[in-house]
Amino acid sequence: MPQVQDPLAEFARRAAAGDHASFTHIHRRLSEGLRRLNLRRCGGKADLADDLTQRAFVAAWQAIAGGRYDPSRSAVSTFIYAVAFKIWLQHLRAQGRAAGTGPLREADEPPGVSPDPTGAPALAEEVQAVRECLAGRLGDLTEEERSILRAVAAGESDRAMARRLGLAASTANARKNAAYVKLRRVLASLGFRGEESERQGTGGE
Amino acid sequence: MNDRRLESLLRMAHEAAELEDGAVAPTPLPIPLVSWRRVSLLAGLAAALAMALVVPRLMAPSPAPVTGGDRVAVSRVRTLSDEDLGAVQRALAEMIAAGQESVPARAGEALLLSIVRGEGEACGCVNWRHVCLPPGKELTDLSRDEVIRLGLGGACADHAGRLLIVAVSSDEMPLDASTADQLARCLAGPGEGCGDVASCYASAAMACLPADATVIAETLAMAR
Repeated sequence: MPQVQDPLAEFARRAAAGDHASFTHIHRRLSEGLRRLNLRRCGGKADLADDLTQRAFVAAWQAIAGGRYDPSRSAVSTFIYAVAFKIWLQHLRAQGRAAGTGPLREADEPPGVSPDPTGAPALAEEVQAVRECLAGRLGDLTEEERSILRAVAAGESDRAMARRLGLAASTANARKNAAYVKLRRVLASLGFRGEESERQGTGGE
Repeated sequence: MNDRRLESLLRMAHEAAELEDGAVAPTPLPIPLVSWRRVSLLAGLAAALAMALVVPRLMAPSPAPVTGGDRVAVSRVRTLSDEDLGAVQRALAEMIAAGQESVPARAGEALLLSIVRGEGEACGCVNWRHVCLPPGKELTDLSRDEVIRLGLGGACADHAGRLLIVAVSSDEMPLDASTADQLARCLAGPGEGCGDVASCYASAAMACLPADATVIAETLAMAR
């Protein structure tokens, strides 16, 4: 993977070396955004969003202080996002247990992503690889393919995408699938084959 | 790797980029109401220190369960001043110097530090004590309501205007007065400027605690 682009790289490096003041700076920079993300996830429940945000930052600091975060492999924002995502999945699972509704709904738990927080570094590396692809710093995706993938990432429907690109729906779908093939190939070349635990040669557990 | 996982990763990459860019759209929120739930405290073990910001006083442990039933309106909390936090630190240091006996924590216990400011600055106090977590629960299992309920089970709760609660559990350190002092020092240092951001206080506390420690923090202002 090429050099990770991270506007907080210097703070991330210092935090990884044990400098809590740098982590505090990262917290100040990202906490409001993470809280908003959690608010969106939990339907505007402020208390729950605050709690999830706090747990995410505490877990992130523990991982960073414990040497489980490598700033060269993922931006600190991606890492904290991955930790927060795990915390969110843990919450959903605990909620399901409390309500007796069993495991998470398929829509809630993405395939290959477990709530186990120790997998956050590996998930962060995989998400970072996708970010690098979308930014054109990794892989051989064309600008149109990256644009299509960014639209998928933003939740745009196939029909809206086809309209925006001025293509027939079937053509847009074919190009999307071609972009998927390329992205999948890039991820596979980095050792990501579908399950975060299957990543070979990562620093994740 | 199937399409669904790929699409998940694309969504996550998009959201992570939003987080980095500060572009996560805000969600309008109503002021929440805290609904108290009954919390069982099995026993209080340690001496509890309460300190008015001007007049210190000693608190007894609270072995009885806290009963629920009332409702508290929660509004935006104001920033604890440096003087507040400095006073906390001094009071705890005095207590340690006076030879307060430390009581090591047992499994299932947490140390709870409450920093309370009264309405109209009339009454302020600091309270630290052990709390027994409800059976089968860890610190992170407690809801915000439960943490606040525990935090209010001390000095000046009836007149509390603003409250910062920091709870810690750890197997690697005694949850005693020295830890409470250490915690207060952390909050008085990196915690400056945290305002009403509870995660900021929790993060500040983590800097001085062992890696295994679990920390939760809550801040709120109350009007009965």
